[in-house]
Amino acid sequence: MPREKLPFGPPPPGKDLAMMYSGRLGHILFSFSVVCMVLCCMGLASFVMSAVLILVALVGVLITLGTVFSFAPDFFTDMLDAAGNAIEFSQMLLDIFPILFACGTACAALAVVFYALDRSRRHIGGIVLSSIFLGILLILLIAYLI
Amino acid sequence: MNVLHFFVTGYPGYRPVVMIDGQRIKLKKDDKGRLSCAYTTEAKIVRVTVLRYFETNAKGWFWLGLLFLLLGLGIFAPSYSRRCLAPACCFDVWLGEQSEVGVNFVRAKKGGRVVEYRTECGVQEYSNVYNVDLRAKRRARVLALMQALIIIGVLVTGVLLIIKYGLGLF
Repeated sequence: MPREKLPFGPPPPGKDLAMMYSGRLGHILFSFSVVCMVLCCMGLASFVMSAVLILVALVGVLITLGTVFSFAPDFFTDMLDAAGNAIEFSQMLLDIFPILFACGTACAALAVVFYALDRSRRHIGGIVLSSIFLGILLILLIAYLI
Repeated sequence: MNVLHFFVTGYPGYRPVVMIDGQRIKLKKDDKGRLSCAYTTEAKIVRVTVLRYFETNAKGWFWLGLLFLLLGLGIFAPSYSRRCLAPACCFDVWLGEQSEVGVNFVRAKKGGRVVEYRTECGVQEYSNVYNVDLRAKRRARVLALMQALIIIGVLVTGVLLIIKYGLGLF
């Protein structure tokens, strides 16, 4: 049989292309679901965030044996202000929690669907993680309602 | 009639497209967990070709790529691979009445082999090497540049919005 020219770099057929872009869309939705989940967590962990900031301030003072006040006299006040800001930010996140939850859940669920539609690559990790995020979001919703 | 039981093992990082005598075959998972199919033909010799499709070789690649980059705000959109290793793999197989031919995909690397054969049938290899699809690579570079520009644009817009409106906090 004569040696034929290899089909090199052909354009993908429509079905394959749709699958590839489905996987791409799944990845984008997966990333959005991560952001929504993180913001939901931040909203619910408002008091933890402010407590951590105050703790960091205290540790800073202890580690430097108070010398931090010599070059930053308002160190503690600034840290308390930052803690206050963190509480305000968290309050804002709590106010929009239902929207964040809805967006996060929708994105994670759609990511699973779009990942599953793409058979040009393996997306086992993405599908598993999206499913885990759905579970975490559900737990966060229960925590919010309580 | 000759029946070719064809199976595939290994995962090179993408799902390869396998063609037998120019006809694309559908591979399904068998009970051994490998992708396989049964191909019936009257021919005594069949030609097997392995392909890989790149999104960037499609028509309208730029606008579609740009659309998805904008959808993902640049940051969340997955970047295009710039390795663009395309398998140039083509071989003939001499068939008996019932033949089993398997290929094991090796990890893709430039100039490396695409597959290893798992068969007792006669095989005539024409090509079995990874090449760089230069067109796909060039286009992937263009999209990577667009992605960088979009990320910069999104960051600058974000900073400007925070400066102008703030978050009601600062």
